[in-house]
Amino acid sequence: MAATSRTYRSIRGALSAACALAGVGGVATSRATEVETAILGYTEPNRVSALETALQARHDFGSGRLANFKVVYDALTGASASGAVPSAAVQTFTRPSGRGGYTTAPGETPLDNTFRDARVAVSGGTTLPLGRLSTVSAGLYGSGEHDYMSLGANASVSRDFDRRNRTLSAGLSFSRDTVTPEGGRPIPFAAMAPVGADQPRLAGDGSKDVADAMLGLVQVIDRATLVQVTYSLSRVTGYQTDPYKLVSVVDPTSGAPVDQLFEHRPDARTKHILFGRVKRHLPHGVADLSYRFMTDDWGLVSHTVELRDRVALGGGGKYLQPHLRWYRQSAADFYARWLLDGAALPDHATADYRLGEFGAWTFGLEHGRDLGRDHRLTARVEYYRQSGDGHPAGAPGDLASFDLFPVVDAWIFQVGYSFGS
Amino acid sequence: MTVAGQRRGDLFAGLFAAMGGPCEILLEGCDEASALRLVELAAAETRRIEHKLSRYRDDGAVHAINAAGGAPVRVDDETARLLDLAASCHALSGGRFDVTSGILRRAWAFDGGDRLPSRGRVKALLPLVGWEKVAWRHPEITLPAGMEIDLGGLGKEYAADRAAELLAAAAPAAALVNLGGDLRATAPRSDGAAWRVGVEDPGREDHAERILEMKTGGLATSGDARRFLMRDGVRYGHLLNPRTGWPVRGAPRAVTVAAPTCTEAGVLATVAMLHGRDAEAFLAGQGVASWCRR
Amino acid sequence: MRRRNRTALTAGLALAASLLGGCASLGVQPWERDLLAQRSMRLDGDPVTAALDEHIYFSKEASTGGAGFGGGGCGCN
Repeated sequence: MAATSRTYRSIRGALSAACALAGVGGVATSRATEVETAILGYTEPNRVSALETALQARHDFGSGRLANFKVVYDALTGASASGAVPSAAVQTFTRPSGRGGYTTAPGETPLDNTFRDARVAVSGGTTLPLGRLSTVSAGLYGSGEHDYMSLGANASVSRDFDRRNRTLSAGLSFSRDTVTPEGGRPIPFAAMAPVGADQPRLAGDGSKDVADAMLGLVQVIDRATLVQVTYSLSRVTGYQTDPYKLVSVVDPTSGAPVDQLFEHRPDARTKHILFGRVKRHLPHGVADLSYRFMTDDWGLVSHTVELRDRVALGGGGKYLQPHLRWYRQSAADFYARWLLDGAALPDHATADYRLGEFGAWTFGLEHGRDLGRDHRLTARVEYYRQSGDGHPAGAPGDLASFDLFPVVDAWIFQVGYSFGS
Repeated sequence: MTVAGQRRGDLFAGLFAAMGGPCEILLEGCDEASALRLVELAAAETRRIEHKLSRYRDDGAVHAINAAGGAPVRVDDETARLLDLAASCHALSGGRFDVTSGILRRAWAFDGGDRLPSRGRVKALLPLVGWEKVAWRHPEITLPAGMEIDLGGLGKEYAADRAAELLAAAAPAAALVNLGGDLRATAPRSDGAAWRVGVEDPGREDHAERILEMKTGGLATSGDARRFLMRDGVRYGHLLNPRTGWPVRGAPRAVTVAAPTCTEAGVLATVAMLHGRDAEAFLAGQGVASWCRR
Repeated sequence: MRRRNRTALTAGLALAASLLGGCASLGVQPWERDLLAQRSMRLDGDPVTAALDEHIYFSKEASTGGAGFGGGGCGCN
């Protein structure tokens, strides 16, 4: 017929979006279920290894009503740094249960190799429309492992503005965590008793309450760019001491450990977190850049910069996605790699490296592809490396010659499969 | 509510009249009493939308906009969403799809006859055509005095989608809505089979029905079986170019499009017709199933 | 130290507020949402990966949360 050779650009994608906004079709009305599953292996050579499996299901009932359910199971074994300093002599430590002990060779970082735990976490929630522009969401959360339990609930509201180019949301979340450590909770700053001797304990379980408030903004900048800004305030009160962590008291001249004390953290912590993110559709794919700033009244300040750059590879939904993450934190005010014998005890002290000053890098690569319609497969490998100052100034005697902040490195392998209709 | 119904094998068919033509609802897995209630529900929704978008009912939203005489009119949520959609269609079609072009029908009477209007009469109406002259700032619309909008080009398809979505929520099994040839199915038949529907084919002069098969989603047809003029061997279809005020030349007799919703299908079919000779080329770029009849 | 943190936080909030206030010209029309509607542009596009990562970093570092409600509920920290 008289059809010319002229080619026309597709208006279909944009038209579908416009129809969805008009209240027909699109996400707003299709009933759909999306299921995502993943299995992840985590290994720190010579330390912890973990296997995690996760399943999330999301059902869209249409008209803006959603429900989601997630279950995560992880199993962990291995050793983690107890906080005690290395020594020129063989050191013997009592296991948290009080039954039996383990030894650490001269110059080695003491690792508590008792860890063997399994954890199950279940959460579910629902989102309902509140008029044409607002939604309300609520969810419940519970998790348990042999010495720790957490129960929580959250609720949030969000509202769209300016042709749905801007979404404001506000939410609250509460949880109560209960710690029932193996052997009971040690008395803070009590010296670790030798194997077979009685370790003084605090009565009852430890519990802490976590209250979070969040304000969020998502703004469409242009046809290809989204910006997200979130501020969160988090208040944690109650038992926050790690019942398995130690602080060494060392001789001020030789640096040799004299005592191993159980650590003691303050029972209140207020955190402020500011998070900003830009997501941009580019000719080659999608770039996702974020920055997080955190500060708290324990004196911790941290910065996290994360970049994911998805590069589309031809058809079939194939992509490669390099991932780069940079993290840096300052130490908590009460962080002490060691305490000096003869000096007065501070109010609080921890030698947990996770509250010390350090930096970390993550390098990752993810590949994804579609397996037929509505099925997707992803696989990723990540390398995480954490390093701090192993030779801090003022280390007395032998300690000056030991690495007091050994590098932690970890490999992460993940395979994910998702499908939806 | 005047609806009728009959059993057809394992289906219940409900019939009513709305949107200027016969409408049919097919329901699976219903007893007669509940099926009739569901048909009434769909019929009420269809008539509600028809009423709201009517240019003649003086309590409808569109009538209020057209009768404002240049004053701003605040519109309800649903009308606002349709105006947003109309604005989108205008932009996406490069100005071809224009809800203000209905006023040209004062010059054109597509009655199958041969009376063309004078060039001057068409030209005199052109200043009153053009969506770009409308001030639409959600939720307020201002039409220059004398201009009119007509959402009829979206209304029937939109009503089919809305009625189907009501049935998707309320009916126990799959349902199909057919508003005078604009269709939307909520899901495939429970045995996975397609729906078979008889639709009048505007591309055929004998008005014979054509059997269509569809599993789910929307299907709409734009055509001019009866709405055309014939003069000196040239066929003038009823779709008018809003820039010239004259019928689009070289348009197919009818275009049928299948898309996830009836509204999308309807817009694509209409915009294809408005592309005239390039209708097939336009559709080829859209990635939807479509049929052009010349 | 404490004072510096507060200054940084205030600066951050001011930036967020100016983003909010200055967006009169931001945004797109409904028919320009074709790219934003793609799955890869969703902010919660990989919820399972995000949750697993959150859990890992929660157990190795002193910071959590940010994008949504923090992880937590784990005896690992």
